[in-house]
Amino acid sequence: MTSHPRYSVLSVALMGILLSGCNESTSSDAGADYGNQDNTTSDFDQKALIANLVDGVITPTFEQFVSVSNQQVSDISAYCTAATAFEQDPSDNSELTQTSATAQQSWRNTMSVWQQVEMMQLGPLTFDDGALRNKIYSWPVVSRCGVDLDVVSFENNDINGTPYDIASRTPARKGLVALEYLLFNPSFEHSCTGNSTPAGWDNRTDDDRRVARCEFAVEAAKDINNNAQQLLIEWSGENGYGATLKQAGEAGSSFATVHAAVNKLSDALFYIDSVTKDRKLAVPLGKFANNCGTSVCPQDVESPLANHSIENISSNLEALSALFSGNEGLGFDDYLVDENDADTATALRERIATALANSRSYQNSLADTLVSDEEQVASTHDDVKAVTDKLKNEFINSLALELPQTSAGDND
Amino acid sequence: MNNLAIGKKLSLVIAIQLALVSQVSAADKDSNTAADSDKTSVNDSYIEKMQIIGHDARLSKQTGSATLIDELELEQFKFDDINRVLYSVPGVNIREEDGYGLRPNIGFRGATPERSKKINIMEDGVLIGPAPYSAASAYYFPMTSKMTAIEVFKGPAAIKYGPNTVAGSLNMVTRAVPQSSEGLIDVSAGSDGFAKAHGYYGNTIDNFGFLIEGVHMRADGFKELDGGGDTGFEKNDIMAKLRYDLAGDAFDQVFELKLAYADETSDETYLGLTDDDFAVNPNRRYVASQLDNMDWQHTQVQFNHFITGDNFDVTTRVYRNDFDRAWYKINGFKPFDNTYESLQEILANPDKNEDTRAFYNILTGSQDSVTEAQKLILGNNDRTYYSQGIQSDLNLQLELFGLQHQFATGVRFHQDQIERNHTTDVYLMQQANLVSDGSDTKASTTDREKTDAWSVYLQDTISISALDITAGVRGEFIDAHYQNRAPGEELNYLNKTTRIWLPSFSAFYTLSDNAGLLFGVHEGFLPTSPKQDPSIDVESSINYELGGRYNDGNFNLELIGFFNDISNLKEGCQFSSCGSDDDTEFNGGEVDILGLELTSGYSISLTDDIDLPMSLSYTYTQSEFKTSFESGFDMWGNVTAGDELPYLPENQLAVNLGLVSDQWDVNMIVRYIGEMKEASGEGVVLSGSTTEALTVVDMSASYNFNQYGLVYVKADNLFDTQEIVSRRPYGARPSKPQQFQVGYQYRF
Repeated sequence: MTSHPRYSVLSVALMGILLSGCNESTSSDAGADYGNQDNTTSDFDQKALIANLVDGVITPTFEQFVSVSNQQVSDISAYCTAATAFEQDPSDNSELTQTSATAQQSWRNTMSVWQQVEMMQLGPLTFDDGALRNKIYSWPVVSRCGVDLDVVSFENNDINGTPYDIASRTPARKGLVALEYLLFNPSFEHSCTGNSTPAGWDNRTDDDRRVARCEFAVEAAKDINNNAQQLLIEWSGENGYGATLKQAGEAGSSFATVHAAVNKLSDALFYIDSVTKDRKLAVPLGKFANNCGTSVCPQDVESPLANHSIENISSNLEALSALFSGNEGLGFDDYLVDENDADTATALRERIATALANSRSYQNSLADTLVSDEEQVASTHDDVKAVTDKLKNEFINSLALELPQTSAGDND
Repeated sequence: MNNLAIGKKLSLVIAIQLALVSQVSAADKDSNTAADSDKTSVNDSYIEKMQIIGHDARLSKQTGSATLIDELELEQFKFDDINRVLYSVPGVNIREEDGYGLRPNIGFRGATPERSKKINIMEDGVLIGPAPYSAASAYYFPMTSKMTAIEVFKGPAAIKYGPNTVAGSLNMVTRAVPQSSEGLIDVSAGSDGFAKAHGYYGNTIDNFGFLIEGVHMRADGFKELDGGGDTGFEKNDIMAKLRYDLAGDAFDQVFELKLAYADETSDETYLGLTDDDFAVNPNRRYVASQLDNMDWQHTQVQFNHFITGDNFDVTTRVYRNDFDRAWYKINGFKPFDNTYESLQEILANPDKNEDTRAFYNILTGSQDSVTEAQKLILGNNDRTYYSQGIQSDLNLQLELFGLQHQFATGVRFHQDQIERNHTTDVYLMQQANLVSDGSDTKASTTDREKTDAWSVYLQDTISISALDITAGVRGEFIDAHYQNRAPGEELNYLNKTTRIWLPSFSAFYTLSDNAGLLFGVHEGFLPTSPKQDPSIDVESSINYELGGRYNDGNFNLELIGFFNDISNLKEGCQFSSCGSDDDTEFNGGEVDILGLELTSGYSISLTDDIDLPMSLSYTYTQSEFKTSFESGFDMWGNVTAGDELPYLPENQLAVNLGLVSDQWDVNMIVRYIGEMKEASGEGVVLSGSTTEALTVVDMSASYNFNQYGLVYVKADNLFDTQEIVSRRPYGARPSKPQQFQVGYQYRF
């Protein structure tokens, strides 16, 4: 039968064609508002914008934070030395008072720079659900009792049988929130209300408690400085996240396009909306449910012990201003002008300046002002909202940017 | 009616049902008009016919892996849960969810089981998922209780069914219109308020046949809601078939209309438990899920035409399925500030800090919501789907060049659509009850995904003495459209066209009358949904299988090894997996899945009246990512090359033993499912978590009182072993606990 081999050849050939003929092709066309693939049409140098914001605004801020957090270690150590001396010889408290004030001022300085860093939450500050950021500043997650417990655990160098290691402790027990409690809390009583209390605390003198808290404060300040240096390491250098942003669109970059990296920087700006406006102002104003129900709630401000809340907001606005204007170099305002939207550039510059000036004009703390002049706080909220309204609309539309998830759901 | 006429009619009936249901359950009941006189002998001949036609004649030379679970097997355990049915099929991986199988998660050969979206789910040969192309997740699943057969196709056998060819197809077969007057009433009741009423009646008068069938099923649920409340479900399904037979000199034809309606309301939730709470009471449900409720309706119209001649048959199906569903359920806490943690994070580590402890206390109702961040978001995921199309399949036998050819070819035009109208509401937990915070309902996802798809396949089986060679190719031509329907989002759309040809090749070599070897290779494909960014690749793979079969009529053995060489694994986020509803899809790169499937059956005649049938099904599966990468997909995380796929047990075993006589039977099935990783890589909440290995024993027994009917009892999970079957999407979820059921069946 001659047809068998002939057919076998034919069939094998057919199968070969079929198997080799496999292919897949996909083509698409998308609407102007689809996804994150858009870009603007002008020839604005977005790469230069990124380079300036990284090198001219963000990196110097991170470096400054390393510097102030280092100074903070020295100042708290000096306070500790004085506290120890005062415990041994309580006849003269002048050194203690002075070093305490210096340590507190050092915390304020550190916090003011940190509040600028807060506006720059990118890369290493966002990885792993913001783990590094939380180690430095976990607010609004705060655990005062946890800090009290760790004061004693650190003193005893014992966590359930293992040596105390602050680096592995939960963020709410350390960082700048813990330092605020340790340095500014006028009471030396512990804050624990449950079954777990710091061992032996109630039997100690205030002077002894001061020393215990102070020593833990030094450890916490060192940990903050270590984490600040870690932030700078992960941000700077050839392999740092700053370089990743600057190399956007290049082969091997995790950003497919330069515009995607611009969008990442833009995402950071919206801290001013979801945190500054909503969490720091609207919550204590009672615009959202708070610990007082839905009425004005001074206890819900950000830094209630240090009375540093309005200064924090000013620092947020300063950082926003720097990111928007690019300080001396290219900023988002230049990008808007290039996209023929000078109106938005001007409006945002003016609104940020107004909000910043008004926030600096407070005569009293935010908590006190909430009680004495609620209108002023409401006005500050409105000032910030005027900024965020522009950011959420004209700004992202003119620059073809996507709103971050945190601001996509409109809380207003 | 003379014998010739009866014979012709019988053969026609068999041919029709072979074609219409794509399998061999043709003889649901012998159409012999003498049937009424002796039901036992009819049943015997029915069993014989099912075994001979079903297994020996049809499947043994199948050039690819295909498994048939016929009505007899389904009747043994009277399972209402498709998961329990499919555990006995090798190569099936399942992630259980609610314990009743209301929304199953089924995968084949390592394909992710999430919402069964990687397999084709068909009913009577027609795609039955709500929108198989546009939104593959099978939130609608046909009522298992009314099925008379279930088929599983893997390997090259799957190439005839698209669009998803990476894993395979599941075809569920509804009852055929009987050839003579025939009916059933089946009522049962069981633990946890379970009750079922199932009945059908059908007849054929001259050339006109009809069938009507209904099922009602309910349960109070085995979960115990804190503070009391329903956790059960109610399901209804009614189906009617009208058939007209037109026998001619040259051709025989059949026209059939199928109409079906189904609905479900179930107080189901995605909220599970912390591991500690699970250890105390796995069936507990936190009060934060008290308002959770799924409500859906499904309608189906299908018209079939079948024509057969001496050497060909053509089946044409026109179908339309509509599905409306709304699932109102807890999504999580309000993402307001940095205290925010997902429900999965909270339940994985409630003692992380004071805020997570407070969140946990709010979920359990032991603490009231105070701050904005402590408010709860409940989402109403309201979706409307349709799926419609026309498909025609031709089978042709002819001799060419002195060789026997079996051509199979088909073409389908299919359209489907999903419209999402999702909304969210904000609640406070107050005195262990959910109370609205007074804010307005807000729209969340509001969009439409729509697909028009042409599919064709051509397959030829050539017999060269002992060798059957099958070569085939499938083409998928998909036009997809996405439109964001929110106000002002008119320009947020995507049109996407995908074209692909998928070849397959398989061979079966007959060693003897009882044994043969098989080999197959085919290309696997999974389209992306219309809204996915074109940068997300389609899933593609080359799948190989090699094995052998032995069947001497009393003992059977099938051993198949498979290797899926996936060049790009694709996964997507749904609430059921990630706890978010953005349906984002992810590329996972190259993945290898390797496995072995073993099935065997043997029956010992203990006496003239009593048989001891036994069967075994074992699956071994290994998987590994071939590259290291960081993924935003919650089940992957930071993957290192060599990591395994999630929710894929290494070992699965099912052993089935029975004692069967003419009047009674007792059956036992023992299932073992090995532990499963809940996440592949590091850096995600469930990294390092595994589900527990689980051994479950089900039993059933029945006694036939002949004309007075049949009484049955069954026990699912006889020894009441409950383990964590999944910690997704939010916390630990249990397998179904022990459930007893007693029922009565009357056939007429």
